[in-house]
Amino acid sequence: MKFLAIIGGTIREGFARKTILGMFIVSTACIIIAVLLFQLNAVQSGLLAPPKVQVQHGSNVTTQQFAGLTVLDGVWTGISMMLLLLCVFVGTFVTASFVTSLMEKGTIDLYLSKPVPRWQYIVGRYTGGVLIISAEVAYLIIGLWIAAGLSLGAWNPAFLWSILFITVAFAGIYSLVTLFGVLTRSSWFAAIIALAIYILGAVIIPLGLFLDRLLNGFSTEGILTSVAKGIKYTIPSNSLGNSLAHILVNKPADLAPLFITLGLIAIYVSLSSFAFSRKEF
Amino acid sequence: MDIALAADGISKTYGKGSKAVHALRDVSLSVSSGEIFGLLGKNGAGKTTFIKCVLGIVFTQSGQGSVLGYPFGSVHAKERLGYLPENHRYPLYLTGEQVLTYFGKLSGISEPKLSQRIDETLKIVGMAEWRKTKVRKYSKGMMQRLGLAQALINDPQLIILDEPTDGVDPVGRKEIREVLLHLKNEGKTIFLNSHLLSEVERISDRVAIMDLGKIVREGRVEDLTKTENIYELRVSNISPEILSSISSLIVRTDGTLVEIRCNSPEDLNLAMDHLRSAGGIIESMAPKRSSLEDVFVDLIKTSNVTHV
Repeated sequence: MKFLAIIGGTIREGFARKTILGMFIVSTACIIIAVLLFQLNAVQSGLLAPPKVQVQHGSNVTTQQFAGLTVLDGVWTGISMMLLLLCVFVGTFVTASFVTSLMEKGTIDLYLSKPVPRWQYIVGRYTGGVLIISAEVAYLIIGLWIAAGLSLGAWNPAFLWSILFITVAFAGIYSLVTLFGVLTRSSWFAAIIALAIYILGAVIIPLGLFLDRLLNGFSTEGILTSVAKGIKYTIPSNSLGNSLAHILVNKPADLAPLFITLGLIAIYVSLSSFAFSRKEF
Repeated sequence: MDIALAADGISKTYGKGSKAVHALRDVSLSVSSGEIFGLLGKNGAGKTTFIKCVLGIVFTQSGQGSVLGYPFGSVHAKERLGYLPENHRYPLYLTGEQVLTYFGKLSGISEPKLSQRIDETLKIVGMAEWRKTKVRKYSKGMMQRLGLAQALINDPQLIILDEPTDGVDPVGRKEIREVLLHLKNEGKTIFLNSHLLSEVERISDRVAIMDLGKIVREGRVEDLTKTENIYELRVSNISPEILSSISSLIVRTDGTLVEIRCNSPEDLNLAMDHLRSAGGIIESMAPKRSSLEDVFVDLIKTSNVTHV
């Protein structure tokens, strides 16, 4: 019950901030706009048509169709990718202070005087932050999915996987924010460092290859690329977007990034809890 | 009598090397169950650090401590302990009642007992009519009262209060004093941390005076404030002739008040006999007491504790 009280307190703190309520209002506006757009005949026929790509071979231009897919599947993929990045970049800043506000002077003494093990505060605050963002994501995605289903008759269940992947992507970065928040007590610093690491995860292998070629003259993978690959496995939320995109267009998806991120979340939240339990205030 | 809180040789240093600050130095004290114990000291004397050690908010470097039979910082001890920190802050978007609900749940109290405790504590601190008001509208005094209610929410055996009357007006202070005495009558142990000496003097059974992280004096308030061998006599029908009979003993006179120094009860009785035989009428006699403030200032001035 104490743990649930911490989660409930975090969610309440979240809704006391206008930004999170604002995000729900924006999501509602998006759903309403989608419902209105889906009523237009041109939009309906366009979204339900198979996607076509024009390919040029010399002077001949041919049109290639993707069987079994619709333009709507592509739209879902685009929305999911955009939402994933929004949640990682905006959600991180919106929720970063949940952990650091716990450690503010005048507040932390109150919390630590209660019969609650310290780790529960960190895990509870972290869970509260993730629940808020997952509720935002679920609200928007389910809203859009129902709107499309009722208006177009297109009930692609794969789109619902976005809720899981986007939530895990956010949760992965948020675990880093939590760790740096505990260590530095600065929400902005923690968010910036975590996002810098996330961006590093996207460029580290190409960077390793580039440095290998530049410094060692390797034409293939060298030591630096191998090191970069090793580092990549310590950065959560990497390649989740690729896996989700594959699922949305009915391609075989690599689920390893999902499980790696879940494992890294467990590690970083545990480290955060440990650091918090050793910290003096 | 049970010991509610005991510290034996507690030391705590912040920082390292030349920047080290010795916040607590070999602090030993004990607080019996059912008493009001006051920890006194200047700002920065180490009072709050000591409380933080008790609660496990900071960790001791040496020494041993127990609170309600458990080591310092124990979660089990905190189940039966209430704490009002100095400069406490509550979420401003909550009402007083919501604050108590939240911290009550963190204390492990579930419904329907929680609602009952909220009603009781708000009534005790005189905040019942403000329960639905957002904390952001509270004055400093109301915040202190809410803090006290928060500290009492789990019906604790030991209540630790850090500057409980800070920012409270004289009427509010009196009310808080009455609350603390009421709690003492209910058998609660109260550990009071304050630099408002007159407040502590009025309600504490025992006090410890801390200076630069060290306990420089500990004892019962009446023992600490008792002035050695000086007695105050109220004598009517007083005249210079009457006083001349005990002139060698007189320390000070002020109207009908005569202060005399006597090294033994026999000397005191003899002096009173002289006064009576010279025609003086003794209305009252009592050992002279200093205020706790006098004792405190003297101790701090003469304390040989130095910054390290």
